[in-house]
Amino acid sequence: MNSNSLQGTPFVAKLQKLAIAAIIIGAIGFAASFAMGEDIHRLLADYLIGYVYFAGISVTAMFFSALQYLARAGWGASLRRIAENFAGFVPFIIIGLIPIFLFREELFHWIHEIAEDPMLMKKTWFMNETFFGVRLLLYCALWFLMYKYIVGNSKKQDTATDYTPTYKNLKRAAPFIILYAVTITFAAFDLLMSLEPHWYSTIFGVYFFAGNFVATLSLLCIFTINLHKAGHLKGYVTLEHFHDIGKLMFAFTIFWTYIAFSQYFLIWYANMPEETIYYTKRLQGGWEYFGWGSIFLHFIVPFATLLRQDVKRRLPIMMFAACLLLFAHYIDLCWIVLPVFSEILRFGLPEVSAWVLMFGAFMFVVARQFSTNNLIAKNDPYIKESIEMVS
Amino acid sequence: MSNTQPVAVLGNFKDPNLLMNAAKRIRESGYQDFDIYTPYPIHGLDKAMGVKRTILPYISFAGAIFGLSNALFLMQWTGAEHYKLNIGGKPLFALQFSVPVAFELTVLCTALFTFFGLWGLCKLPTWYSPLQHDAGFKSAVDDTYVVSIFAKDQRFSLEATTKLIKDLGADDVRLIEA
Repeated sequence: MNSNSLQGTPFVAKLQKLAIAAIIIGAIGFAASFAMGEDIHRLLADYLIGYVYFAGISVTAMFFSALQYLARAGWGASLRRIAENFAGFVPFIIIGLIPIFLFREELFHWIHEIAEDPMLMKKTWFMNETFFGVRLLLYCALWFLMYKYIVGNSKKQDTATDYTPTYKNLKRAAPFIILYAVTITFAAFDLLMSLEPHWYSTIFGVYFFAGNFVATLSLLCIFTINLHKAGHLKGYVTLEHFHDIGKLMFAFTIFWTYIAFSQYFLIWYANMPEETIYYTKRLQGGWEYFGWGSIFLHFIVPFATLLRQDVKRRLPIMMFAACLLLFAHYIDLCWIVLPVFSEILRFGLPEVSAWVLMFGAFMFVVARQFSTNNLIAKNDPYIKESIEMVS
Repeated sequence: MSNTQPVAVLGNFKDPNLLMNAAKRIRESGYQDFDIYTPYPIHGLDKAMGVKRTILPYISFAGAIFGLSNALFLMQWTGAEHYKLNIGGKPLFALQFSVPVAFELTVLCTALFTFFGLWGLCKLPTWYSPLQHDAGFKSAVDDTYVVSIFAKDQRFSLEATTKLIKDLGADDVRLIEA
């Protein structure tokens, strides 16, 4: 039973080494592709994918924590801090936004097309540089405030003598979730959907959220398995917790599929040119492999893997499913972003190195969080229920 | 009542800990055909009794496959073979518009197979049980745990079985005949 921070443990040391190695390898790869004269649009798109991937996970990890409070969930109390450590990346989201904002004209081609394109002119009230910048800043500010409030209160509970911080969170979890829903939807519109300014899909925000939540749960699963193996969670996490994470992973893979299909199905049925262009582009020139891969890796394989009850209690299989889903989320984001800048498939060093670079940055922050925060929410009123939980 | 046959030996328990121990001991003594009735689910009792994992998920899965294949067949046969209709220039059969139908029928058949599969596994409906007139047995829906070892069991013998249940701490051990 070790409920203190993991400072100085081999787990954190390994994580830090991994993070630094990833940063170095990613930076070298990315710099090499830049030096080789790679298309700047491609590099920016790759950066955007890596950035959105980890920013999305960290914000959604914060959502996971709030969800536990909202539902008064007992089972997750001993896992909540792990998710909150992922959320430690939230304050850095605004830094990662700087290159995106600096090169906005390369990335978001509506910025210089909007004056001439009659289809875009009517969207000027929403899609103009000032409002765009203000919105991006607003998301970062709101996320930062929500992070300080929800995660801050959760950490305060560790040293508190009464349950005031928890009660505050219980009260604010519902408005938090509404704010999260609105911000993640519009962030998805601004950062991803506006890459294709003619195209629109009202369900896109939900689609983005579903992918993010699956990825967050998978990352949580991987970390919990590793911490469990290292013996840090002894007495706090049992197979029952893995069973519950597995159930959520399974449910939200299906949810993602449901949303992805709903988006595709209506566009396929209505068959309107400004909508179908999105899928036409993405189902030719080699990008169709990403689309099929997405269906296969994000639905069929994980569905078949996680269907059985006993599988969710077998850690190697859970590990496999979690890694698969994290990879599938990456494929999915690539499928959304990359075809904007190239009609034929191109995938290689810049894509992988940009992701590895962001992975390193994310893990570096998370490793620091693990060495400063207590691993277990100490005085949490739900912790006893979580330890004794039988699913 | 001369030609009655023994059906089961019943024993009432008040203490859940004694009950858990009893379940374990009866299983270890080699009895197969016994059952325990409780007013509410007791965690771990099925494990102590050695109840095997249910085959219900396989019945559900069979229902899923049945529903899915039937839905695809329905869409293909009605739309593209038996009565061809051009609707908005869409193909006569396509996976895209078959998905909602396939999904609904898969869910429906899974639910029906599970529901009626559970009936079958629970031997429902059973209109009569020889135990149903026993007053002590009825208290299993109120405040008592009832253990019954059936006479069909190969190891059943009136004296030994009665003694076993008594030794495990049951009150009111009795033989039911029918």
